[in-house]
Amino acid sequence: MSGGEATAPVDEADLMERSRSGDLDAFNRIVVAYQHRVYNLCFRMLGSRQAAEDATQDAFLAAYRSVDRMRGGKLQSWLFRIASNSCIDELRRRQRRPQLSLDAPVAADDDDRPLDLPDTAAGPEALTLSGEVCDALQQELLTLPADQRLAVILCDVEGLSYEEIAESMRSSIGTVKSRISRGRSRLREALKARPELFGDLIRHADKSPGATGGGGLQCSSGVATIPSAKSSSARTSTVSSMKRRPLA
Amino acid sequence: MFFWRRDHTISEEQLSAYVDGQLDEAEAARLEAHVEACSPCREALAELRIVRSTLRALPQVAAPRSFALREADVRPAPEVRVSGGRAPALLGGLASVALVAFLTLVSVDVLNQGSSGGRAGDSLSAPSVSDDKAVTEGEFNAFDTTDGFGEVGRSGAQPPESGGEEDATDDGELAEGAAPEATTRADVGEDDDSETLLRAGEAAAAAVALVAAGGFAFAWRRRRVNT
Repeated sequence: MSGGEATAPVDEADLMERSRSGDLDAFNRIVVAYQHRVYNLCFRMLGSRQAAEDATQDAFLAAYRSVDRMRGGKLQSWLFRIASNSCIDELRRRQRRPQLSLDAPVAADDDDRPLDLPDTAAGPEALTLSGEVCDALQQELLTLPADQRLAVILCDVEGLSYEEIAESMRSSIGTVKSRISRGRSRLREALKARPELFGDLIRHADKSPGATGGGGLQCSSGVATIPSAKSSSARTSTVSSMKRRPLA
Repeated sequence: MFFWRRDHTISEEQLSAYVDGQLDEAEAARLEAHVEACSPCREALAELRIVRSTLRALPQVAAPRSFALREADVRPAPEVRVSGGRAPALLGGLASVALVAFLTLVSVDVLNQGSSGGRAGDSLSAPSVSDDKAVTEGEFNAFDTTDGFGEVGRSGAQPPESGGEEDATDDGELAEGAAPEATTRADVGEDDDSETLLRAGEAAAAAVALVAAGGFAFAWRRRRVNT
């Protein structure tokens, strides 16, 4: 993943310890390693670049101020939890000032296109979304209630396992499961309601041989798009927990 | 979700969990068996997979800039805590001093009434009166003799006067300065004036004590929130 080096868990523990002693440079190395993921989460949750920037900045500030309280558990889950809270704070602010919700359009400009495009690494069955479809999907995401949106984003956009999501949302796995299901269900209806946009996806899914698993293996573009540094553990745990390969 | 029949054995949530590989072997087998025979479920499962794969195909947006924190971003928090710490101390001190002034004035007041054969003093004040009586009378008598000497106990802000009545109204500022002045009046025997002054002093001291205590409580609470 360009722009952010992966940090090994051992290094992270050391960086956190130094952060607790007030070493801002050490903490900033954590910031640099996670800022794309955190920004991505905020952008998908809030739908605007400006809001995502503010939420990301707030999140890292809040994280630095509470390093002392972070003792164990996954660093990523902790950062995602703080970022989620930042996003939810912003959503609550918007609720109190409804006219400003118009301020949060899905950014259609090219600045939001990814650093890594899912093309060459993906293979012939790769799912490539047009800009229009991406924007429409982002719009649909924004119609979900915050808790469902967050659960779906953490699961399907950030690639976290249910356990990690439960840690980030401070909920039980049952709650996580329910929120993901309800969120997907709404999106399912939304996709069917706009066949002109999403019809291609349905046709693609019918054709692809990859309707084989719950491990995300059917869409290799998913692997290429989401950086391996963050997703490998999630993918592995998901695949290994599969006792039976689901039917095609 | 709305098209599920009431006796439908597989829930959408189970389908969703299955897509994520969250079902154990037995549950997965049951689901697969059902899906094989149930076309709505097959359709739902396919659609869930599409939703999932589409979301996964969303590009990851890159952070537009570095979010590394600067010292300036981080420093303000501790300072707020410190300034929050001084206000409660000041206000608490002021509240205490004003409270002492108030109690002193009240006990002097009661003492006056007792000595002039007035109404019975409060049971509350009586013990303190007997304790303070020797001290207060002796102390205040000393001030009684010389006006210049009486001024020594006051802050420099108050102008030197021969037992000026105005001094008594500055009670809220400093207890030590105010109390002797008011009592001097009483000892000299100008009871009506002294009573009025005493009342005024008590009221002022009580007001200051209440306001300072309120401010103290407010500043204390704010201090907690900042930390």
